[in-house]
Amino acid sequence: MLFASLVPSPEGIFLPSPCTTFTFPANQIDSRMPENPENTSSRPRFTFTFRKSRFIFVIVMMIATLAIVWPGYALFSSAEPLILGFPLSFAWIIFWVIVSFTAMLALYISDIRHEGLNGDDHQSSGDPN
Amino acid sequence: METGSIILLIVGIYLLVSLLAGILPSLRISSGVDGYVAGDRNMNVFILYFVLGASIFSSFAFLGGPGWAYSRGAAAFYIIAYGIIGMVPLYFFGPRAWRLGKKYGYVTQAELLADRFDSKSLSVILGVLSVVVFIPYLTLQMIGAGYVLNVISEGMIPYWAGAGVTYLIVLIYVYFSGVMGVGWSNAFQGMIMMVLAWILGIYLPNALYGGVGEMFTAIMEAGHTQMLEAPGLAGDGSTPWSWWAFSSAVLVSAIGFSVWPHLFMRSYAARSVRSLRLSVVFYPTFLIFLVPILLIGFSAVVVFPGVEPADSILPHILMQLELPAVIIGLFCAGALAASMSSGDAILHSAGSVGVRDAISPLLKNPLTDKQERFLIQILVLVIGLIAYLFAVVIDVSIVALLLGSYGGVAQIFPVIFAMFYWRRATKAGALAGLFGGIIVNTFFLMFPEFKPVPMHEGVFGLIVNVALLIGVSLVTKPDDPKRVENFVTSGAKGS
Repeated sequence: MLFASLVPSPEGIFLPSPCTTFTFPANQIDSRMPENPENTSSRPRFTFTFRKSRFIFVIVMMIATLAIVWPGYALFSSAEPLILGFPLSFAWIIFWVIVSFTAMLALYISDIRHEGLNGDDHQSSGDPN
Repeated sequence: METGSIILLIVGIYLLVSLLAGILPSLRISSGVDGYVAGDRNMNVFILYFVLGASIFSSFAFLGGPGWAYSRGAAAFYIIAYGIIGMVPLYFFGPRAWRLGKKYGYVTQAELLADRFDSKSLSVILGVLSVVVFIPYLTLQMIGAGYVLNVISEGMIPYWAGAGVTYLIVLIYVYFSGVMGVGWSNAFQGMIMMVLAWILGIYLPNALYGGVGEMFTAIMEAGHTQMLEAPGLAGDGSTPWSWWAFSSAVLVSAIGFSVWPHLFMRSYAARSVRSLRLSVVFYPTFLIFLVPILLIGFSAVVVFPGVEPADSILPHILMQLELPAVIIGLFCAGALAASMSSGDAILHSAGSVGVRDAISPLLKNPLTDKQERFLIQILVLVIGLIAYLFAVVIDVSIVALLLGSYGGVAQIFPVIFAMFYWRRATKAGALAGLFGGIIVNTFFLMFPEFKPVPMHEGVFGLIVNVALLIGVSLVTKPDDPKRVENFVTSGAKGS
């Protein structure tokens, strides 16, 4: 996975495997089973597929959001030093354009790998696409 | 050859190529609504990339961007900042809309929402809202085109004629080719803009100061350091802008960006989920082209102080520098490209949304495919004409209206999000949220003195919007689960 090299996965902190489906309440049908459209009571109320790459992507974009508004941007708002000729405030924004591009590209590659490996039939009903 | 004729020749060639690029696709698209509005769902990454990119590279960016950098300094970084996060939701919404569109034949944003919430009135409200917001947007593009031609020709081409000729060409290719014409001409116009932005953005700092770093040093030495400190200067051009205002403007614009109806509905035109995603992924590369655009504005701070209005700084620099005629001609083409590539997309969407979302649901007998396409084409002509009339009897308040419209468009975001991710959202909740949000947003737009904190009015609208959407949904009966299921599970392949 492309993200693995970017973000260390510390021991002891629970990070689920790249693709884990959660259902709630847990004792109900497996979301991968073909569903019975007539019997909606058997459907889990809450189901989503947890993908590590998507989780990391959301975290990166949340950091990006905080970085380009207050308070993140306020820390890097001065005109000096000039970085490659650009004021710090300008270079900071350009830096985050590059981060956002890299993150989206990595997510795209991870999505392709995921879909390519597992094929159509594995896609559960609650994949948070 | 004389300077004037070289410029006119270049502009003429540009317009001709635009027209051809826009007209030729009409030979290949099918004759129905699907072909006209969604390009038979067959747009490739290359075209889609330019269509999405052109939405930010409008007249506003090409003339307003340097204007902001020139008069307000770092405040102009806001235009880049919101793009960083603004496009991301489309990566997730787009494929869902695409799959549902393919399955049920949707071609607009409101059709999706109307089906999910089983509400024709929702469709009509969104349809009317879109057209109301599109007209000032389009008018602004026309003003940009007319203005550039007028200034560069030193008054030889009257303002009304410049806007008229440019938009006659846009009207012709939008009328005949629909979204595919918009796509191919945008690809051509996009490349012109990119090349021009870089040439001018690198040339001007070097010619005037000897480099980008030297330029910023000169700005600081001239006592304008405050200008380069984020978040730049307020609208008056002397006091610093507040962080509240900057941050909320970035957030509201980012939230509104991905749900602009003309942008969102391009999802349906994609050839595949993969090509849609890839063009969203590459979108930030378009943002990088705003960097030279802002450099153009900064380059004038020390050399040409006190130019009014600030938006005219780009043509002003070009006229002062005695540049070769070819460069001026190319600049003209670039500025027209910026105007046309946004204008055509808006014109096309306004016609499609107006007919599909606002007029069709009110008719007793459903229209045939041919009738509907014809009606869209007629509406394209009518809206083009209305916007042109506004542009010729110019009114300054249009700019304010456009900036305010971002707050209104952002109100669509919560219902779109709920449509895809929240089963429990109900028709009543969606209508209440959308209505409440738009009313609060409009109220603070008109009476800014009542704002509790100096934030963008869209923030207040969004708070009320989300609260109503959640609150009203939870106290009303859940929507039919069978219908809802289709939308929530649209993230999976084949569903």
